[in-house]
Amino acid sequence: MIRASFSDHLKVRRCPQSGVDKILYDHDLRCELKVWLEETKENKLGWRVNIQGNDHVVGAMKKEILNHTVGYLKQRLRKDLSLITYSDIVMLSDSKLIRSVRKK
Amino acid sequence: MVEARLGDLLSDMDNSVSTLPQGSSVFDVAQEIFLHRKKAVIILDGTKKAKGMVLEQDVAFAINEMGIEIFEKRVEEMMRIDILTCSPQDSLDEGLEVIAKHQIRHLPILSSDGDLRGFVHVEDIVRAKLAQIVVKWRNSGGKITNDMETALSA
Repeated sequence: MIRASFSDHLKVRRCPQSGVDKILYDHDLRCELKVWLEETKENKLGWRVNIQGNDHVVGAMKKEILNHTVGYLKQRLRKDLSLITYSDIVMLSDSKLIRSVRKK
Repeated sequence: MVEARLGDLLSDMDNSVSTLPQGSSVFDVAQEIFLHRKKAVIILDGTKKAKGMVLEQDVAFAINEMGIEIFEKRVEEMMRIDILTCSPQDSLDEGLEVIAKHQIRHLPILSSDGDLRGFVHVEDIVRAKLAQIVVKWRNSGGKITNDMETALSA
């Protein structure tokens, strides 16, 4: 069985600040902010959204980016937020991209 | 005897799949699936790139969860972005396992280079498995009735 996706906006990357592998959400919002999904023990979900960039822009865009990111994960996993684990997110980053649809 | 693979059972994509643009309604999708008898509808963006898919059971589940108001919603609100697939080289048993475990009827087949090749229906897999069993039985001396031959060739 292969998990395949029409979207490949989640990539495993090494965070330059911490040197730890995390998931980069390559969002299509028009702002120079990086959105990282990282594992944590500080909440019940076991993961969190870390937004990096200019402090003023982060402050202005934080709510929209969080909603956009969570909405993206929920649509891909077809699960409520409370049921999404970090393993689920890692699995999404490993999905095979559907590059074409064969039609005559 | 060479075992059949899922790639051997692919249905014609043109007849089984249609496309709709982003912004289409769930009603538009339901028409394609239930009126025009498509197995799936691929949703395309403005550059004709595939952005998602809707299967027959997705419309049924959406109606069950959200009522008929779902027909007025945009398809992007309920389309699948991720799907479970098998490769054309996978065995019939592997296909059946995915179908049974995830309760789907049409199994998408994806090639190694990311090309969505088509769908295989659960009935086609079961029929092919039965044909394999019959051949093995016959080769080991078993007798096949005319009714069994007719059913397998249907």
